[in-house]
Amino acid sequence: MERNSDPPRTVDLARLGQILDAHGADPDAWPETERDDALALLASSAEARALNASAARLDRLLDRAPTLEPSPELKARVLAAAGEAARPWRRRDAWVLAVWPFGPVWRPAVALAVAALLGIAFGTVAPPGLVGSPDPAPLAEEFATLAFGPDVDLEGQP
Amino acid sequence: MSKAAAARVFDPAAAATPDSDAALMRRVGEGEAAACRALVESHLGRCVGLAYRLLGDPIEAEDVAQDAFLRLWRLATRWQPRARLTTWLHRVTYNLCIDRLRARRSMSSAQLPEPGSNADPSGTMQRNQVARVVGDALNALPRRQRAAIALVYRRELSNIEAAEVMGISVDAVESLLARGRQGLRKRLSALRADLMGEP
Repeated sequence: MERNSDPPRTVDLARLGQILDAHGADPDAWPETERDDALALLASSAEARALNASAARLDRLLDRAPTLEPSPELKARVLAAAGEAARPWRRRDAWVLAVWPFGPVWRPAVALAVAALLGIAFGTVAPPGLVGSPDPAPLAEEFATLAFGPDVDLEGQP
Repeated sequence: MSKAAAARVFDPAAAATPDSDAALMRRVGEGEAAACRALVESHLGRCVGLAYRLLGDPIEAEDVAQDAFLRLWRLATRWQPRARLTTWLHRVTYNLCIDRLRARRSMSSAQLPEPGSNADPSGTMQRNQVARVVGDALNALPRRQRAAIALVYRRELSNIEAAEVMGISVDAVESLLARGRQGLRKRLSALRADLMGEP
């Protein structure tokens, strides 16, 4: 039917029988790539027409198979369930969509959580000098030593 | 109605695309009653019909369809337009039916419900008899052959979509269809007297 990647095949009686077996007698249901060949064969061959007539009889019988329409009670139950299912989502979604309208909300939530955990972990285990010192003077002296050598003090006196 | 005639009737579900389904599901997720009704009107009958053709029991068929829709409602706000809604619903309905068929595997065919028991009471006796005989012949097919025929019945799904629902290749679906129709033809030919209302 939709397998357009298949190469077109020449439709003979055997192939027509396969098509009818798989798709029935309605040409609209036949593979597009073979439909014209199959219709041409039908036009030219009484045997092909007999095969098609047999498939059409089976289609008509299948149309007579028992069917079932949904009852009004089922429709009512399904619609009631829709209302119940939508209610909690509706409240949450209005809030979530206002904050994050770009897709699944778990992605930014996970990113925020990971960033928070990293911050806490870094603040807990990092050396005191990196986290900050109450007295900046020792740190300034270390920078001055690195920049100007051990004999220079902060006021620039040798 | 013949398959060709059925195909000519405009069918909003068949014309739907994954994107239009997604828009509809967004409205369902927002609790819009009209969107829910539209979905029920266009898809519930398909689910019930498929489940009935697979299970042969009207009560079980309605239970399965209701279950499938419950899953759909719960998914509404998270719906991703990866597949057509109708394909998704057929797949869920099919899987629920297969679960039930597996559960009743030990039951003998004599215990299975009569498919003709739900026939239209206003029809003639012969029409009911034909429906019963055809229903029996369908129910006598192996499960996967019956499923393939049920899925593409009246062109509800394309062979590609039926393959997706059943989790098999398109060639395998066509093979199941061919064997199913051959089996039906053989069985119905043997029951010709019943079909023609002959004694």
